[in-house]
Amino acid sequence: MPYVLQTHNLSKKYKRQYAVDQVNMNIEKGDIYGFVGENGSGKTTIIRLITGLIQPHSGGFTLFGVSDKSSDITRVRRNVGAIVESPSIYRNMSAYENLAMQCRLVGVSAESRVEQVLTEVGLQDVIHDKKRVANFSLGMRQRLGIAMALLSEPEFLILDEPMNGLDPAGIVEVRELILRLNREKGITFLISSHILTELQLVATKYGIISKGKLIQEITAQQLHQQCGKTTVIEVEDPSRLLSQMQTMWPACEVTAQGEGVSIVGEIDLNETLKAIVADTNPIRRVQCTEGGVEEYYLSLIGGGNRG
Amino acid sequence: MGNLLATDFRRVFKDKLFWITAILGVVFALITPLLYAVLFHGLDQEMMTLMGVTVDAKSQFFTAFHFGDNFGLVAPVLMAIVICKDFSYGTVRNKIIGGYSRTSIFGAMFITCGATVFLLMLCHALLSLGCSLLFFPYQQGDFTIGDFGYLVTSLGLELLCYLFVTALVCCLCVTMKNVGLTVVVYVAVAFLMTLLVSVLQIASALVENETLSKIVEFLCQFNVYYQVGQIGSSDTYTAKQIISVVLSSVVPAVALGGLGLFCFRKKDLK
Repeated sequence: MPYVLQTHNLSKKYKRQYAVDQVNMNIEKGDIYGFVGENGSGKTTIIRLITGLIQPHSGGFTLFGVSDKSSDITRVRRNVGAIVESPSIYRNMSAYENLAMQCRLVGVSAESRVEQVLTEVGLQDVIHDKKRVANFSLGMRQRLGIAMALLSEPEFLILDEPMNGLDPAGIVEVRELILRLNREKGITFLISSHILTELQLVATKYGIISKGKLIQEITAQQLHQQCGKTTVIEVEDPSRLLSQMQTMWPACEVTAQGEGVSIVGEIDLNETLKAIVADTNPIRRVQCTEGGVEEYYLSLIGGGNRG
Repeated sequence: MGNLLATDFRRVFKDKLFWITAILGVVFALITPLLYAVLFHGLDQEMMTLMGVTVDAKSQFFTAFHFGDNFGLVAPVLMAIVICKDFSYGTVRNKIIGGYSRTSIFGAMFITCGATVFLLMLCHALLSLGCSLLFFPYQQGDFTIGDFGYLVTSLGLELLCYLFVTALVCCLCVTMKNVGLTVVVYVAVAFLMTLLVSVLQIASALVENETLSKIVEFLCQFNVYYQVGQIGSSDTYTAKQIISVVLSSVVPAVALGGLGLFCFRKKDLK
């Protein structure tokens, strides 16, 4: 699968502090890459670096195989649509005028395309509306921003906090739009979001960033295997159970927890219980819980020893 | 570049502030000759000459281009606000993400700003000329073919002076990226330069030392705010005058434009 974006030790320093520190991320064609990190972790800085708004301190990236040092990078950026932080729109113009301006900028015919994208993002009601964008709600502006990013039919769409300001119905619409565009048009996405549970519903790959460093890249499938299920078993002799489970489930993360053992990952519970009974280690309690990206992220950021 | 220019011109003409500026230009063009007509009502040309005042349509036309006061000060300030909106709205990001180089974005901004400001000033000056002709003659003598040549040359020199104004506005816009700061610094520069011209003119009248007098004269000659006031003030141009105007406008314009482009290429954008 060809890479849409690859960063190579990408770094950005403000005064003496690194906002982005040697980040190596890989986004393949067709990915919906969920960019996860706390406030100030460097997500938006990376997005700004990729979109050319700021220059890297060291390192670099390739976009559709073209290096950021190449003069061709501006041409390649025409395949990219982006919303960085907040949508960039002329507040003194209507939605249609804003899109018509953007059409001229990206060199597409405004006539049919504007109506099409406004309908795609659920703003069909404002096609003929003269209302200035300044009077739009935050959610409407967010959707207009997505519409503007979609105008040039990009192959790679970068959305920085796209769910910001959207009501629950709006979040569902944007989520469905992302999934549809990815499925039908094969658009690759880089989405940064704080709403991790929402990201979990769309992302096929995650990049977890903290304090400017990319801590881990993990596919949704791997994440499911890693933290899809946590089984806690309490027995009379926990130390014996720990070594038994470590041998039995080497692919899982097995740790001591109180008077029992915690097993993170997919296990066959029947086989496990049979083995414990055969080992004559009386079982006191069994608890199974489903985890997600939020728990996984917190375990990573909070100093947990996973991953 | 063509698409960028089309987008920039479109957004300028869509901006209410542009039309407010245009209306102000019309108001200034109508009021100034009217005020002169009221002030000097009943005075004949000889009397005005005795008073040391020259009031004719030609002087009104060329005074309209001065960028240290009146509409000449207002128009670039309002255009700076319009240009700066690209930074305050963050719409300059769309151009970069849209695949345009920073050089072409700056170039389009420069051309749009320069063309719009000069167009506004030309319309304002022509309207001022038209209005003045209702009350005063074009000049003392008859209008000859030589005067036409002088007029065309003067307009060319005015254009060069406005190249400096454009470079200053664009340089401030891209380095400040803030409407308020840009306006304050632009007005401060205009006032300081005009003040400097007045001080230098007084000094040249007072200084008796020949070397010092030449230095003062040179400083005056190299001040574009002084030169714009000299355009149209006589009937012919000497080669020295033309060279002075060209150097005092083009050299700082190239320096400011270059500085603006350098900053825009290097600076981080939010």
